[in-house]
Amino acid sequence: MQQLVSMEDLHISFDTVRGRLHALRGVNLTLAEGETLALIGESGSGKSVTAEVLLGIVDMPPGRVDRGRISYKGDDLLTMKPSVRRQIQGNEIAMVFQDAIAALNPVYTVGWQIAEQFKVHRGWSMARGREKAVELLGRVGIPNPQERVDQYPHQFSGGMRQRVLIAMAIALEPRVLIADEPTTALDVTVQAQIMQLLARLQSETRMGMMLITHDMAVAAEVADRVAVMYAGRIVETGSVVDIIEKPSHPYTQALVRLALHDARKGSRPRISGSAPDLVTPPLGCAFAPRCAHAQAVCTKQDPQLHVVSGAQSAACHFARELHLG
Amino acid sequence: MLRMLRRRILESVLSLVFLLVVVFILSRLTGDPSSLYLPETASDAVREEFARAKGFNLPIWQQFLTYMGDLSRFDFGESLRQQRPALSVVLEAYPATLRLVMWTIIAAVTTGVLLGCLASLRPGSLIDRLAVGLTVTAASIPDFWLALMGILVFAITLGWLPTSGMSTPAHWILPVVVLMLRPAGSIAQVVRGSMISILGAPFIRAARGRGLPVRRLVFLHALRNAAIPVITLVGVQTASILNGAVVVETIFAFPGIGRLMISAILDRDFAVVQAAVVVIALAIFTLNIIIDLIYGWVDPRVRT
Amino acid sequence: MTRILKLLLRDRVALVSALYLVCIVVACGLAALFLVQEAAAMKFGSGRLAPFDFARPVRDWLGTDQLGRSVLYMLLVAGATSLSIAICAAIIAAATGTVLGIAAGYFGGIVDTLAMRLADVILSFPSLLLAILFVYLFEPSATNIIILLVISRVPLYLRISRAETLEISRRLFVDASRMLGASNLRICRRDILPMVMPNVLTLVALDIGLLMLIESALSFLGIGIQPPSTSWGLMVASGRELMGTAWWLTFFPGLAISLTAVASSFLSNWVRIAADPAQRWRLELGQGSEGR
Repeated sequence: MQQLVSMEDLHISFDTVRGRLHALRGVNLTLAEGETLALIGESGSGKSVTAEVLLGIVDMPPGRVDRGRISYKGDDLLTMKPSVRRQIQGNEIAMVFQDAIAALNPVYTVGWQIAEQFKVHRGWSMARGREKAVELLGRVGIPNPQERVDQYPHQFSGGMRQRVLIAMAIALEPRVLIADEPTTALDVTVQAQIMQLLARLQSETRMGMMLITHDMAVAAEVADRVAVMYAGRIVETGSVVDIIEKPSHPYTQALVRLALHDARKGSRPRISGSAPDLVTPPLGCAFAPRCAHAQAVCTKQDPQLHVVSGAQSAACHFARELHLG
Repeated sequence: MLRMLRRRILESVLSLVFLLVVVFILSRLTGDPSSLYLPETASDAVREEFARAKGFNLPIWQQFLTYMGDLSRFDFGESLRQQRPALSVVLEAYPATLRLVMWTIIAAVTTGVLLGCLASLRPGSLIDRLAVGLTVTAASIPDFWLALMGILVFAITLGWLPTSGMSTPAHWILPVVVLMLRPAGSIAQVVRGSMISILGAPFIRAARGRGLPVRRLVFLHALRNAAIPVITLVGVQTASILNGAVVVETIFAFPGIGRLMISAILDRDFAVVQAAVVVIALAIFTLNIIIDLIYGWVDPRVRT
Repeated sequence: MTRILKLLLRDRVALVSALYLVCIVVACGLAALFLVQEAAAMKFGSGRLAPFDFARPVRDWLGTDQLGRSVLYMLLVAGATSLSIAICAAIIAAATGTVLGIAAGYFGGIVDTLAMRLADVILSFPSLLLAILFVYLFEPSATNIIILLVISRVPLYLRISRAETLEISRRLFVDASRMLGASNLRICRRDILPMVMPNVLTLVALDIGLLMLIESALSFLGIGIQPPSTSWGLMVASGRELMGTAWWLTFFPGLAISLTAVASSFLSNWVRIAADPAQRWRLELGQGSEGR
């Protein structure tokens, strides 16, 4: 399996009114061909920033890369020339956004917006692009694609719009697909359909998929590997089976517990306390204030991600103990 | 869409009727309607004869019925000065004004949109401040003064442009430039604000994420969305342009409706003034309807 | 009051504008009281003098017209007319329009619909043309011009105060007042009026310049202020014939109009922010009213 994406020690910060916000404080990730990586975390953990910096739509300034690199097929995306980067965007790395109505231009038909990509990246005519758009809409399960291709975004229902976004994302057959909470805004029945669609598309194209979610239950269903994110950092990674059966970080454990408990309802996990302020990140472990197992060493030393067993790593001083039960 | 059009047409007709009624009432309010038509030096005998001929001594409601009846047949009476139907006089002057306003709108929209776009891409920069400066000064400098200064500098001192008349394209430069500055400034401001908020919208970020080049993003994706409030603005600005046209036509001796109205006032030719007011009102209402149609074409969300 | 002054001091642009306006109003006011004779005084042999010759007496500093009259003095006296018309009309229009607007918004019903229709018609028509019609029917005179300016601006005040009123009258604190037994008048005065004032004041500041522009245009076209009275617009018109040889006759009155309009525009920007308690922080932080 070829490795497509590799994020190494990525540090990203933003200039805000209150000061410098350290959104990513050392993110290490890999994504291989054909595998689905679930990036899990609560809001503010930095998972959206991670996705956006991979796609390349983070404004710099006010954002800044303090350290690290992102390799795509060996090349560092962060130091690439913008024109080269633009060739990768949408073409080889594509993203499906959370809120479909916000991601689509309201004054153009969906067919036009899909066809445009072929025009820009492959030099096709808009007519040829439109034909391909009809095909794509059919592929993502939109009925009557011949008619619907000339309709405007506001004429679609939520679930259909999300399918349109997916069609747009896979149009140029990207190698990496990032899905940022693709089903959060939809209701439960539609959620399942969309997830099935994504899984099917992935197995057809062997693309690597990075699924961003806050819900461990969703990850459990579709992911091969899981990366848990907290306060701008990856605190645990491993195969989905390992993570759910033997979570080795207190935060992961809490997430798993909540997911199992609320598997039917699908509500957001809520752990007592709140995430730290990333303008002044804590010295020790960021999770310590909310951790049931916290000891003195936790507030003084920042635990690094280390191997717990096999392909599983966690960033906790007591990971081994937690792993063994 | 059709429903909105129907409503708009109905509103316009009502407004027009209302305007006519107001004109009627006002003209009778002055006590002696004949004095509106006749020169001040007319003797009492002439006035009485005139009043009788026009039916001013009939009961008010009867006068009103005749008035409305005449209007519905497009009979605005005769221009005393030119001994012709007032309506023909007005319609002759119409094309000059129409061309002037049209060119002004084209120039104002082009300049305003370009300036606003550029300013929005670099907020706070020199070009942005220039755009704001232009808007404030353009709105504050009186049209007539600007026109005169323009003539002073470009026609009299430098001799580059002619001072009056409308025969050659060169004759149109000063009038159009003077007339278009204020609307261009307003449009630039609106485009700037609109573009700044659109450029920050999620769908633009999503489009960036698809690898679309900046030029395409700005001119195809953002601008079409930002243009929507501009269309309404152009409708509003037309009234202001017409204001300016009166002055510009007078100064540059364009034979348009504005100049006609002024001379009709100074000549006390009420029939012409009345006809001009009605024709202008009709033109404005038509323009509003056209604007609604354009609006529907640009923003598909309105069509349903 | 001192707090307002402090806010003004922080915004240099608005400060300069306010100072300019105060100076010119005072200067014109004094001129109207004391300089009327001087302004009309013709001095043969001193005709068509160019300006900026500071060796000559003060009266000649902005030049003279073909009859030797001082442009400077005429400017000040004419300014008194232009400014007083604009200020009067602005205040009357604001007062009338706001009262009508609050009434329309608060009581609603047929009165409201009628008022809005009327306002729409007046607003959609070019103001100058309405003015022309009005002036034709009723003879140009200072009073009539004020009336006409008022009529053309009232709809705007009506609209904005009605919109504010509609929004506010739905809010809880109005209901609370009503429950406490306050009369309608009291509610309007104590609860609604203060919320409407910021927008109204902003518009008044802007109108001083705007109405003056309209009056100048009318006077220039010959259908505004009539001689022997004078206004800035009239001065521009009379200087027009001599534009090639005596440019200062048209330049200075037009400049005066422009500067006053610009000052009123900047001041109105400041008022918009200073009068609204929710926005005042911008001035307190020293950002100024341009928002930068």
